[in-house]
Amino acid sequence: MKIGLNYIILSFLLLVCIQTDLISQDSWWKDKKYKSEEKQTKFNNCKLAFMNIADGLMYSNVTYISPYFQNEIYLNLQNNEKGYYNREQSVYIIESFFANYPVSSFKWKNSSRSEKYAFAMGKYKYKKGGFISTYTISVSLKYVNDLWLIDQIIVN
Amino acid sequence: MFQFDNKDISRFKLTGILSLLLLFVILFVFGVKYYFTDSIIKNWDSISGEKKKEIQAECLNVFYNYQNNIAQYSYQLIKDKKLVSALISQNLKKSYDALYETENNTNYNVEFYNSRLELVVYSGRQINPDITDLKRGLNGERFSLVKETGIYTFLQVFEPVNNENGKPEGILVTSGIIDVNPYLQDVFYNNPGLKKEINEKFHLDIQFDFSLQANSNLKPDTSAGKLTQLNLKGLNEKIIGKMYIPELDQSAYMLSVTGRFNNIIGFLVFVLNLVLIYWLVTAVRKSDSYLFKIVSVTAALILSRYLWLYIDFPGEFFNLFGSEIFSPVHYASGIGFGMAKSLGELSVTALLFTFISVYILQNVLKFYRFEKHQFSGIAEYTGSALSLAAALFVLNYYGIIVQSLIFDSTVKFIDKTDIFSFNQPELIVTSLIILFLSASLVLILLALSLIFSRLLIKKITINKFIKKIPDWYSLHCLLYLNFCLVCFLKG
Repeated sequence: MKIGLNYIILSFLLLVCIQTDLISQDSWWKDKKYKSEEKQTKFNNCKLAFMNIADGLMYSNVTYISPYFQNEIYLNLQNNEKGYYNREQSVYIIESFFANYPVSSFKWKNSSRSEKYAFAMGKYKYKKGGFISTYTISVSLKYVNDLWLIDQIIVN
Repeated sequence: MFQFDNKDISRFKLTGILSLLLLFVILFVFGVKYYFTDSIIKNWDSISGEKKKEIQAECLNVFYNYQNNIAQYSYQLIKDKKLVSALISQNLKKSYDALYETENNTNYNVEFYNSRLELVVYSGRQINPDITDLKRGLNGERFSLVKETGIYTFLQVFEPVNNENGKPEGILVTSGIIDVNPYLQDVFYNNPGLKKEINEKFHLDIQFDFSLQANSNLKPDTSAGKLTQLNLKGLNEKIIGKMYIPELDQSAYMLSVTGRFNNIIGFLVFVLNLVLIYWLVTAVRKSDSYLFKIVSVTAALILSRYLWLYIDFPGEFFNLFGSEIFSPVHYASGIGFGMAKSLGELSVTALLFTFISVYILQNVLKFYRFEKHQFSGIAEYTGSALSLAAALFVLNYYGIIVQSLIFDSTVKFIDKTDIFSFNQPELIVTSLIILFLSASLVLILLALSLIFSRLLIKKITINKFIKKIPDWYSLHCLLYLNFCLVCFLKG
């Protein structure tokens, strides 16, 4: 009887752990319930944009990120002149960043959002000189014409 | 089709041997690359151990360099008799005069406390050392400590100031900033700081712990992997802090080693490609067909350009030497599928196109002068139409590139007095690109107008003047036609 109870407690704890792990996957994004369907879709799209950007950073593939580029983007990447760059230039600058700092892993850490802007910050681990080092990447999105577009990318 | 003499054959043999030799060297480098990769995997423990020791020594060296510089300045002050006597007599004017006469006085902060531990003189930032540390100094101990103040990390050297009898009369505290909060560093501070200096040197994120032993509850961030702890010793050989260095990562190390081999292979492939181009140009020279010559050499050069882009040569080579000319920061465009992804790449493309234009013109001139063959009416009309279409395409493509050079770049074109500025070398490169592209445009247009006039203009007998100079007439025709077409399309 005692063993059976232990098993139940253990399996309950295991379930709780798995559940916590599932929730922690999206710990950077706090899901909220909005009254209107429109708003819910708007912020779901925002989350999707951040997730696609994260995929782009994770796989060093700029094509995941470039659909979210607006005409001019503020870029402040390591070893590059910070400033506003147009879409095409931004694609090549980010590609060159990926080539110079090959990714080891990327994860969003936190985010915040408002009606017009959204912001997320993540840890970009890269391989250089035999070591794995970390940069903090922050991306801010702007809501323009029913689309979430990248306004700024800053690497520190 | 080809008529080779003995000289050509011996030349081909030589280039063939050279190509084979280069191919052998490339294969050899590939072999060495795989041998190294394999030995890194097999002997990872000894390789990482050796490398770890080397880097740890270098990291400690960076810290001790900072400490030695501050200690040296402190020693220089304490050996300055004028300053020491002014400090002991607590003569403020003389103390400041003597202090400002010393070298490097702006790089360090200096504070002098008298025997009652009252601040007498200070220069630079006031650190406010702890009373207990001042007392230690007053007891005659020379030592160093690290103090963190939120934004800055200071390294302080405590030096007792003794009178002629050797009795301590005060304590001199010399300090220097060794690190700054990275977020503020980029904005306000020029010196790199310890962490940034080590990061720039080895690309590794070190962590420090200068907290007092009693409060030492800080745990280093191990998310990037295992860390090695090193103790930092002060001037009196006592531990004043800890340095945490990440362990060498096998995949990252392999990437850096294979990257070097790839650079060598890229360079060798580039040289082999040049040899093959020379071989092709020499072989094609013996062909009877001008069209074959032009098409084969142009195709080979354009394909070679894409090969150079694929192996990232000479971009990677310039990047290794810290040149920014192949970086997309100044200019980048998707024109030509990567042929214009930076100013450097575009300049290579422009040079190559100039070479192609010269080659085309050279052959067209020969065709214009020496070709006796009479073409059929259809061939003449098709050839003329194709040359006309090519001319329009080239003119418009030239316009697109020049427009892109202005819209897709961050080069400042506005200042008229700064055309050949050495402050902005990218502007000089841009001017050279425009010069080369314009030269190739003129050459191509001239070649096309020659073809056009050779094939068609002789049939159009408008007046005697045109008949005498048909090539110039056709060049003008092409330019006006392009202008009309642009006006029509814009309209």
